[in-house]
Amino acid sequence: MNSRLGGILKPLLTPAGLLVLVVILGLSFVAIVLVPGFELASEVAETSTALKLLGEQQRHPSLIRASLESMRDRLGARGYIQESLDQLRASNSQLDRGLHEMTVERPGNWFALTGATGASGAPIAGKHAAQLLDAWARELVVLKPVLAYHGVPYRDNESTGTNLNESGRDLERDLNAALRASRHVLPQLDTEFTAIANALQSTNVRSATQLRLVMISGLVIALALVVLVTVLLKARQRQESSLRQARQQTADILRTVKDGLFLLDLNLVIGSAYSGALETLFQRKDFAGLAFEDLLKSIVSERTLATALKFVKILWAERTNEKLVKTINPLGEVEVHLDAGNGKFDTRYLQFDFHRVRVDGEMTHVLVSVSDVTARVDLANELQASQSKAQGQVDTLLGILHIDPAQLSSFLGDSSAAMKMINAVLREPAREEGMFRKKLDTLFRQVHSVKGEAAALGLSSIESRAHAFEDDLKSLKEKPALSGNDFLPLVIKLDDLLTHLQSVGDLVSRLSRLHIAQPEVVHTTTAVLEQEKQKQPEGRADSGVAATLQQLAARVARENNKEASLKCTGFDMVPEDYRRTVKDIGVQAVRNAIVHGIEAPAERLSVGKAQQGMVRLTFQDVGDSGYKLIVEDDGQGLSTDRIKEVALKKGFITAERALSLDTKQTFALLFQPGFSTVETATMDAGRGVGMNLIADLTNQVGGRVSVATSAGKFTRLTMTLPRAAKRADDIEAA
Amino acid sequence: MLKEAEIRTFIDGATNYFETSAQQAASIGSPYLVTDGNPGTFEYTGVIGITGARKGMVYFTAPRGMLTVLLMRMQETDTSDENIKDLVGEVANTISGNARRDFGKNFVISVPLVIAHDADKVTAPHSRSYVIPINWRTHSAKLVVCLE
Repeated sequence: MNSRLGGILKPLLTPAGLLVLVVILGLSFVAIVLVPGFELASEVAETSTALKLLGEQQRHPSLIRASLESMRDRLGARGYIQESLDQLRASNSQLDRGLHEMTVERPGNWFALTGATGASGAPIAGKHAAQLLDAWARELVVLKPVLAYHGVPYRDNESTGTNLNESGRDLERDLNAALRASRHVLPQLDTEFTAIANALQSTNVRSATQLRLVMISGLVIALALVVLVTVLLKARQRQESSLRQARQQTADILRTVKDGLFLLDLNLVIGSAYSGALETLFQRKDFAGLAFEDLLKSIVSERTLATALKFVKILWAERTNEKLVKTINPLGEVEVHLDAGNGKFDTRYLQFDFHRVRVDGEMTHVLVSVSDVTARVDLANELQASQSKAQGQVDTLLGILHIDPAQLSSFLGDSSAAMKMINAVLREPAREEGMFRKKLDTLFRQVHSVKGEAAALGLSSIESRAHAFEDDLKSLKEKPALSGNDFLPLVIKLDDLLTHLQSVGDLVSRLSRLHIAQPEVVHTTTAVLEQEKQKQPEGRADSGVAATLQQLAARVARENNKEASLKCTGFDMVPEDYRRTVKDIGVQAVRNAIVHGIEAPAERLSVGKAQQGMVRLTFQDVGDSGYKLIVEDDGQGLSTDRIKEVALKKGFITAERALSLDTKQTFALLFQPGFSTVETATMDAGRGVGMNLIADLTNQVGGRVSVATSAGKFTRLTMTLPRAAKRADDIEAA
Repeated sequence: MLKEAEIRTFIDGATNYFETSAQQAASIGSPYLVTDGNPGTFEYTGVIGITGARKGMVYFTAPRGMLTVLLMRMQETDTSDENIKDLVGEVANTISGNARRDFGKNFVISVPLVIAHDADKVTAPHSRSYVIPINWRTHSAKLVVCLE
């Protein structure tokens, strides 16, 4: 029972239910209080008016009777009758009018709801009207002759005094007749009047009682209304305040949330509510009403834009599976570039997520959340980069692990210097062909020396890069017209070489840090490096040069299918100033000796030589005259005919000139740039730069080169170096 | 590592400007690298920021003398600072237009920014830059490409 009552009351206690109650009560107030109240009040008013009218009429029958009696008495006393007659006439006419008013049908009341209460169309007299009129009509018949009387009823006689004349006697008779009739009729009128008055009184009392009841119900309804309205107002206030709170909370969330949030409608237009983060993410403020397409247009490629729009439309299609659609989200990670305004860009990675918004099961919007995943993407990229870098470093590490640390360190220093020199040469302003061409030889020598040493150390990654650089230089040399455009590939290769050298350098320094952290491990690169350094006498070059050359000799011999051994003597005496020059010359000379001098093993055996060729490299301190660097091989020696033949072929000399050249002049051809007796360039020879580089390097420090050879027996190059080397920088500057 | 074609696009943008607007071709000098992060500028510099497939900046920087002559060569008698800045902006714009045409959507290129008399404002985003001297008549300008 209680639950049934609760079931009925519960919906009524909601704000909407209360509002319905207020309306019902309002209507009841009108129907129960206002309309009947008005009608009852009218009824009371009308009844009062009728009572007043009745009251006035009730005295007229007595007045008529009194007037009639007064007239009879005066007539008897021969008095003045006019006054009584006038009064009779007045009462007569007033009663006549009053009766008419009381008995005439009144207009009906349109809102009469209570039926025959007096407020209807019935006359005041109601059912008594007929009796009243009938009695009055009878009375009128007897009154008529009296009322119609005019004149004087007396005749004066001196002897008899005043007597009634004829009209007086008639009047007397009429009066008596009227009095007789009135004795029956007038009480009848009185009775009717009293009955009517009683009826009106009781109607009035009933109406007043009803009115009181109506008023009480009105009061009750009004009280109920006041209570209800108060409850409603309170509820509304509570609702408004919770709405305000909810709005404030939503605004707080939208302002504070780090993600960009907005709603898209069916036309893919952004709604008016969106999170503040959106402004930071997209560097704009005009989101409300902005088309999704316009938002993306400036930040993603056309293709991504088209896919994204298609994607959101698919999301709108009800039958597609939301989870499935999300897997093809094209905006899962969008790279966005925002113009920072200073010629630079602010690059961010944004992740767009889409969710269907449903109201009562119907899809109304798509909620888009945008988050800045830059940190995550950067981290991933960094990780990937460091992984691939690590892979590259492992390769490089494997390439350098076998190298003597001292050699490696010296190579890196020298290479870096060479790269600087190459860049300095490139940097020198050049406008004309000649100036461009002039750069080539220096570039060649520098890169060739790096290549040579890299080869000697077995650093194939650097050697191949230097070789590619040489290849470019070679084709530039053969190019008829040179311009700055032609040097662009060189700069790119230089960049590559620099980057690579740097990564090797980084690796070496990281290794050294590793070793510093573990000082007890003495067999590591740095430890050895340190030990090597300690072994060196002050101002003397390290023994790395000899080792480098040994490795180079072994590798060049192997790659050229030769057998050769290298014997280095006196390298511990090389002063620091000459270290690089001696090494560079040594690299070129050893390579030349093995490639050009030493014969193939079978050939050596056939001419009665040992299968393994011998190359000797000797550094001597010759006192005041300076130093001597001697490179000697027991190979095939130099053939002037072969040199002339190649020189002719390469256009260095004419056929006539070839005939006139003596031995010394012929050997001088060897030192010209671009001269080589090898047909095809390999990593080791064929560029025609080796001998030229030896001559250049010697000349740079102020030394000179001499050649001695015996066909089939040996070739010996002697570089005489002054005591104090000229500074290379001076040469370059000159 | 930068590709030759990419740098060439920027160079062509700059040299084309001289050819089309002054009817006098510009040639490029010997390009080189700057590794200390300071490629240097002349008085007027037009910078375009680049991101996308490559990130960094490209700028064209020229001395006032060269730009004045270029203006005159274009029949422009007003060689005020403002006009010269507009000119540098236009060169930068041509370079960026060329790049847009060649690289398409993979490169996002900013609106050119002109910096005059304030070399400190031009800061290379990376330590290594390619510098390409651009010679025109007796003058020399520089195109600096500093991209990852």
